[in-house]
Amino acid sequence: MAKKDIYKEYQDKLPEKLLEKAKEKSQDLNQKQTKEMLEKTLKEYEQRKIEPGEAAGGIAAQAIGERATQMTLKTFHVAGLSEGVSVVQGLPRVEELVETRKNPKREVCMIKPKKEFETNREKVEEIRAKIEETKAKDIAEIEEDFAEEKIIIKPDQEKMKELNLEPKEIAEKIKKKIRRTPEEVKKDKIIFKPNSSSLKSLRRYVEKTEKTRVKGVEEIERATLVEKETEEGETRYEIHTDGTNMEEILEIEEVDSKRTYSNSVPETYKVLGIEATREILYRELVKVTEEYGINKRHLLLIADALTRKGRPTPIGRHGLSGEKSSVLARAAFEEQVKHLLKAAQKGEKDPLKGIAENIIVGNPIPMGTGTVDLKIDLEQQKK
Amino acid sequence: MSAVRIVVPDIYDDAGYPIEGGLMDLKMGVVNPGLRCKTCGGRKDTCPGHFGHIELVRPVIHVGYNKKIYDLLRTTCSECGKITLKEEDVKEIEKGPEKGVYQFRKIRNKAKKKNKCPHCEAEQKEIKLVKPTTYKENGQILRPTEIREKLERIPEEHLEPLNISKKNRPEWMIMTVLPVPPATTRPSITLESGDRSEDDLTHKLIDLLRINQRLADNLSTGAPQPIIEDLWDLLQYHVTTFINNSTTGIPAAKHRSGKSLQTLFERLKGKEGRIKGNLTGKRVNFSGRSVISPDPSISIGEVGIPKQMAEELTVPMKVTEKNLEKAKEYIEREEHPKANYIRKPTGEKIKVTELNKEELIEQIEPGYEIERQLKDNDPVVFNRQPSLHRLSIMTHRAKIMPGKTIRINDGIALPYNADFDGDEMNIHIPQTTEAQVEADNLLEVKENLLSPKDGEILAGHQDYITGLAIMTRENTTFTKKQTLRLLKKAEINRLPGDEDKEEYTGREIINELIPESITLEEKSNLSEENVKIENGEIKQGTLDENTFGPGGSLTRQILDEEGKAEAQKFIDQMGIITVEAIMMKGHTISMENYELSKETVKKQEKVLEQKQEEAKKDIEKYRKGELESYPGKTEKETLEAKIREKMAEVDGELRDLIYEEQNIEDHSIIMTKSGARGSWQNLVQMSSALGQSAVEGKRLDKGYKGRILPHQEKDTLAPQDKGFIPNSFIDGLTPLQLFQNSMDGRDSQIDTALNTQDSGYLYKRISNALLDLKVVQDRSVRNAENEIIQFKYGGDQIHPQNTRGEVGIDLDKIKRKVQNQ
Repeated sequence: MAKKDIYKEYQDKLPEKLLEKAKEKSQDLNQKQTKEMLEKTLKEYEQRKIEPGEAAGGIAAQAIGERATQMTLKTFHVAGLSEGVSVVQGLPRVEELVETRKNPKREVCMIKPKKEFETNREKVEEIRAKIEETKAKDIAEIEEDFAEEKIIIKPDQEKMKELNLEPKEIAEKIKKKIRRTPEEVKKDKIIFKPNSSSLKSLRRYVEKTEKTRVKGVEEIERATLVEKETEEGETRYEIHTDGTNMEEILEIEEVDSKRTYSNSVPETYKVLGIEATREILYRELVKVTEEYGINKRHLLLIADALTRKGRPTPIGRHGLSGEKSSVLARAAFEEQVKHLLKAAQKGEKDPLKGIAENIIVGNPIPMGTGTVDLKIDLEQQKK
Repeated sequence: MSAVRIVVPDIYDDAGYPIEGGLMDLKMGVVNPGLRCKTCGGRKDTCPGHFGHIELVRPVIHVGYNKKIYDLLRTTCSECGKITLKEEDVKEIEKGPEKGVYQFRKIRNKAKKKNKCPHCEAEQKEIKLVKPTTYKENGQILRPTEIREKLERIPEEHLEPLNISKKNRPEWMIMTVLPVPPATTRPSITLESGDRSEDDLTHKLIDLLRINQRLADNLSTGAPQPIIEDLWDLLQYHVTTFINNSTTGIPAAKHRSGKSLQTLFERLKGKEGRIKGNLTGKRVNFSGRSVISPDPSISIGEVGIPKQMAEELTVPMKVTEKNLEKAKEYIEREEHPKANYIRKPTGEKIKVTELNKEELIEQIEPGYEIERQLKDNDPVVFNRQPSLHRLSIMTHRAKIMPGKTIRINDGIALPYNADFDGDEMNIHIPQTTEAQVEADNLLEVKENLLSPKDGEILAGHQDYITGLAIMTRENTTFTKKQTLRLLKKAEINRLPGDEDKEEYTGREIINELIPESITLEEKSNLSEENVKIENGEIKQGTLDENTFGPGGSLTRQILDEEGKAEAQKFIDQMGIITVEAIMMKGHTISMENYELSKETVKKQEKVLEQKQEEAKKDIEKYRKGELESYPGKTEKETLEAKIREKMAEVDGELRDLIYEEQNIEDHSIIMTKSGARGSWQNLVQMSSALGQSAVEGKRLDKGYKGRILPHQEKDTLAPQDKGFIPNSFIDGLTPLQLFQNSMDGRDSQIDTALNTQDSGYLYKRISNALLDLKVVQDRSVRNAENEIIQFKYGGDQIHPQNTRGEVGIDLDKIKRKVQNQ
């Protein structure tokens, strides 16, 4: 038997990664030794397998929960000064993730330019400037003329040049925002006359004008150019942003949509779907719990449980715990009476398949040694 | 369902016998001993109780469903009872992704906007709910009777979209009959004085019945409408408070003492309610609790039980022909492991006393059961709260001891997170054979040496590591006498290597404990060279936390090679030997350990000054606006970050200086470096400088505008003004420094206080969400509904407990074995 065939034999028996490693290590062994090595590896692998009945969820929760007591509340932590952005860490971040919260505290996006631009600093800087959100008030002085009921916008020439902006573009953007046509567009002056009924409403128009986005992607408050050194000693550039807007960022041509990454769970779900959400949850959980030494399998299980329903489901009473099929299990968690009333209204049945229900009725729990069941074929008995 | 109709608002007659048709009617079950239930014929212990009912003269609203009724009224037509949406619209929503409540909400939100019924063209009026139980239609009050009529009109096929089971009818949410809970759920208590005291529910029912009666009387005599309405409202109030006495908007029904009554909702709700307090959490017998104290002379698999406790706690023993004599002996005995009770096959339980002893011995035969006192080697389930992971509950073998505290080996305190400053722990004695076997095979300490979290060993810490480090240093020797004593403690009755010498090194002694199969190399914090063990012999290096203790590689390898029992034995032996060795060599710290030489002090002062100087330069630059900011940071942020970086560097440099000067012989250094106790930060703070104090992760910034205290200059940014403390605890602090240090201290106290709460709640939620997930026969992970969460557990089916890091299979080792064959 050739070595190849030996490996093939173990293909379904051993995990891919382990087999790969074994292949590598057995390069210099003869066939018999290879076979024996794989056999021994398989034996050890079988010994290390998880046993049926193991409370996988329970130990995963304990792994995180026990560690959580040791986590600090230090909310913002600078993730290395050169990274440019800071992210929420520790316990608050874990909470944010497992609650799949709609508006995470600090959303961050790691944008990678397409491979051909990666080493070109100027080009990346150009992309950066494209992404960073610039508001009208950042590049121009905006005044109101109460006597004439006018809004006067005086663009800062230097900044305009820096951002490669034309007064026309600005006027166009503001026009869209406040739905008024400009009266006058000059290089150093743009004038709007919004026909406002009162001074108060004029003021409101001014505020709207100030907030108009003249350049960049919405929600991206800040984009920072970050240098990354590869193992080969090459300098590559990427962009880290405060705030994310993947929908628009991925539209930008120079951005490598395959490698760009947002740490926001709801956004990833919206833009990339549930599989990506699972991956994000897993990666982010690994990131926050890195220093606490929790085995990754626990975190993977949590990510899988949170995304099983095809949408990110938070933990807690509005999520996984509140959507359990058993009335008793739901009542045992929070809002006891509510669940009992609802169950009556819907005429619910409880099949007693979970843990909490069985504890309530005083049965052994269907887990570990309790998974074993004895069934009698009554028909057979009668014969 | 009802066993009896209740009409009399009273309980007992003059003779103290329950009145028929009263609230303690014997048809609803018995609470008094001696009486028999009229429904099932059972006695106090056997009758489960039976419901009765009260026929309400006028219908009333069930408070629990007030919102649902409101929703139904708004969603359905007030004339024909159909949902005020076209059939197609309902169908379309039903096809959507929302299910259950969410689907209903969608239908409701759409339907309530319609002011015309598409089915019967009837005009829809505006319905309002005045909490808790009044409904208004166009401002006019709707009586429960009217609402009931409306709900009756809802056709059966419309119930499903309304999120109501077809088995139910919506009008049942308006009650015409009130179920009366069985007498057994509201037992009356007879006080010592002979007075009866009734349950809150009974009190409430009496009031309710009285009003119901009065309303009936008034109706039959044809009383004026306003009086009827008032009484009807009152009946509604009583029914409402009978169900939920904490309904917002109405005053709670009270005892004469002013205490609120506990009615149905309150009974179920909350931590001490029926569900959480009695069903998911129960009080148990055969358990004990006491203060714990350490005892290195017992095994980590044992627990010392005070004799007093052991005499009280019992283990059942079924009497068979084989153990009949033994059973008799237990009854006969006058001292500790004796029988406390015997149980006849009939279930009758008799206490064993001096007087009936002889008689019982005569009587006893196979089929009887005796409850004998706990004795040595019985499995005991041991627990410390908070039970954060499964290692918080493990089985130990009992060892009966004098004294009143529970004793455990310090080496196993870590998984329990226990210390001995007054901690208390609980013991439970498994009673059934199944429980005993499971406790023994699954929960035993030796089965739980590996943490399921990451596969680390959580045994042996602190003094054990110190002792081990002292023993395995170069040049640690013990006399022959000492060596014999040490090894004797570990139950080894020979000299190291069977050599007769005058002196033995510590390593030689430890070698006796390490199995021959062990070959390993591990880094050491204490010695320059790595620890090298070959075939169970320490060749070089000082053993420390990397080798032994939590996560130690030596213990782990022994477990892998020799099995769990050997590993436990190894920890036991290490424990007693190291502790004994510490006592022989002596180990203590004093102020001297922390006083530095003049040269070092000078060097350190230089470091402190230099770093502060650098910081000041940055501040100057910042003031002049010359500071180059970090990408994405403002200048101020950059300055703060820069200073913080510098101040953090100070600690490291001071540490290195201390390490340079301090002798490895210093006891405090041994503890710190070996990882037994204390960190280098502690050392630096005591000997050199406290360093930067911080509040909310930033340099101190609270207090007055631009300064912390009015004694400082305004708008100061200098390190010392912003909480940098260059003094050590030995130097002492200036008043300002003390204040700054206290700010830091307060901040971290608040931090921990909030953190424990948050993390506790987080844990509770995560664990409740994942509780039902288990690995099934095909090693996929499924939930209670048998839905698949993962096809292969963790992707590779490997238990985290059996890994170290990624996979945990050492291919190199396997290769070596194959090659050597």
